[in-house]
Amino acid sequence: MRKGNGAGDPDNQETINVLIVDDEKNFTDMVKMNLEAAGGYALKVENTGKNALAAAKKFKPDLILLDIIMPDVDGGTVLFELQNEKTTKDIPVVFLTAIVNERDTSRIDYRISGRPFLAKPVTTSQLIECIKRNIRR
Amino acid sequence: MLCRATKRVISIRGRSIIRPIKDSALHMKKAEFEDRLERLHELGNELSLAKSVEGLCRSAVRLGRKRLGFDRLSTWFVDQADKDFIIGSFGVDEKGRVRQETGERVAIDEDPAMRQIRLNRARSVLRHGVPLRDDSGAVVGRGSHIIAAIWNGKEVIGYICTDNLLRKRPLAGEDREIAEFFASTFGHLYSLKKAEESLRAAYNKLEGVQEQLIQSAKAEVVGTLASGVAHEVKNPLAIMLQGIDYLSRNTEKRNEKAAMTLKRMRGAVKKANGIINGLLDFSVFAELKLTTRDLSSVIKSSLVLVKHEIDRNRIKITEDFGGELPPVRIDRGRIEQVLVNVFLNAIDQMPKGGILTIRTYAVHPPKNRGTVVAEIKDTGPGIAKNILDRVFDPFFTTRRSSGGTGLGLTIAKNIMDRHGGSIKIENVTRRGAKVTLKFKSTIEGRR
Repeated sequence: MRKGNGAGDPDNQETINVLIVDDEKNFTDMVKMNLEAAGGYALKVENTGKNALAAAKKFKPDLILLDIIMPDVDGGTVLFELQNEKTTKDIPVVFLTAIVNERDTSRIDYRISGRPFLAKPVTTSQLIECIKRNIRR
Repeated sequence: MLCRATKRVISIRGRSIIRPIKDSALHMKKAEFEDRLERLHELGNELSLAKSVEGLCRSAVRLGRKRLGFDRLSTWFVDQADKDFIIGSFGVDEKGRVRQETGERVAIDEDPAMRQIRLNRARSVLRHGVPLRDDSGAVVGRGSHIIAAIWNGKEVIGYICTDNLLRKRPLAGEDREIAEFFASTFGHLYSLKKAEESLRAAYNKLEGVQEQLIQSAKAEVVGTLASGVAHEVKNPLAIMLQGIDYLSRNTEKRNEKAAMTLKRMRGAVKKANGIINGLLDFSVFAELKLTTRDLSSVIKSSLVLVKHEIDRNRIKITEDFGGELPPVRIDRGRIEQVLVNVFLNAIDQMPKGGILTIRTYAVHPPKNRGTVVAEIKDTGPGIAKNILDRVFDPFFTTRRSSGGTGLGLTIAKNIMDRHGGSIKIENVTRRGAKVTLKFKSTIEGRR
């Protein structure tokens, strides 16, 4: 988390940097738009799995929203790469996926690769709540 | 064989001797014997129509006595668990009534005639002046009896026993012949009926397994499709929901029509997502999270979830939770899903009110893990016979027009199967349908 002064951050609170990795460009653009409009969030979008690690190293996000099923490199592999990189291994990752139910996400002991996840479709308020709960403090 | 019928037993000073029968008497004896053989032949045809082993044994005793002129008649079978014993089947009591005697079990060696057959591999034994006994083993008279072995190949599988307690007609060599023929015919028919029953049981089992395989195959296809479909549909839904969020924030609050439109769009996304979630219940990601629970309390909490619908339809709940049940290992969320589905179906069947009866009980078979059972009964019209065997089929619904997806019971069955349990739906005799859910108990039965 770092001091932010961008749009949607009128009170100059700390901006939360989120990297979203998902091959659905329309979705990532919408999420970026909504979260940044909500205020306090800066989003970096990455639409390929193969560039996710590089984006994380460069952007140094406070949290990564990671899709699982992507055409080039899947979310599981991206997580493995992130965990093996000194500068990214401690970044919290939340899987954001279309292959689970909301009911599964509500079970606090349920994890994919030890990470929490959110089921698509997801509302902006659900995203915000999840980010706040899982962000590195 | 016939040679025995040409001789007769004569008792002189208490000793039995065999003498040839004189010509005229011999002729009569032969005619009578042939007549009995003819009746035995007809009897064999009649007995072959028996629909079960039990029916065969009962008819053999009833008709054998009537057609062949035997007095008391009974059938016994060697206990396959301990071949030193025989178990009763059907017999005739002292008043001439045919009775089931399956509860009787006696040692073969207790009866000298049976022991003789066993030792000498004889076909039959005829004895005179023997004590004749009732079911309890008490002597009720003296007379003659014939024991004829029932063979299956080279093995004695049982005995046909007859005596002359009731009519006191002397039993002679031809009676023994007839008893032997009768035992032989009965033995063939018994083996045939046994084979038929085994075949029928195997066929029924095969049919059940085939049905299960078809259901599993259907569920597997749905499961395989589910993840793919979910991914392809949920992503567009996710975009739509984010879009609705964006528009909601950027639409003037005073614009009621726009707000209503967005609300409807959100509802449509939610509905579509619900259908996809139903499909996802088949997918590999829907793993069970098993915990040890009390089934009755899970049922009670599930009832709370449908309380609104129950109240709306003015349905009365009758609960019969069978005391302290053994715990079950279940995924609480999934089982609640099953129960809610079953409750909603039952509520649907009673739009103008009715009674929802919920009963739980435990079954403890000896030496096996017990079963905890939940029965849910409604007082609706029941399920039409022609659709009863389709209720678990994926996408089969009678409520398509009112939004039914046809996945509820398919998912319920899938969940129960994955718990190693079962779900059964049947119509109850008077009115309504009954759903029976069976769960494996964590506790073994009494030893």
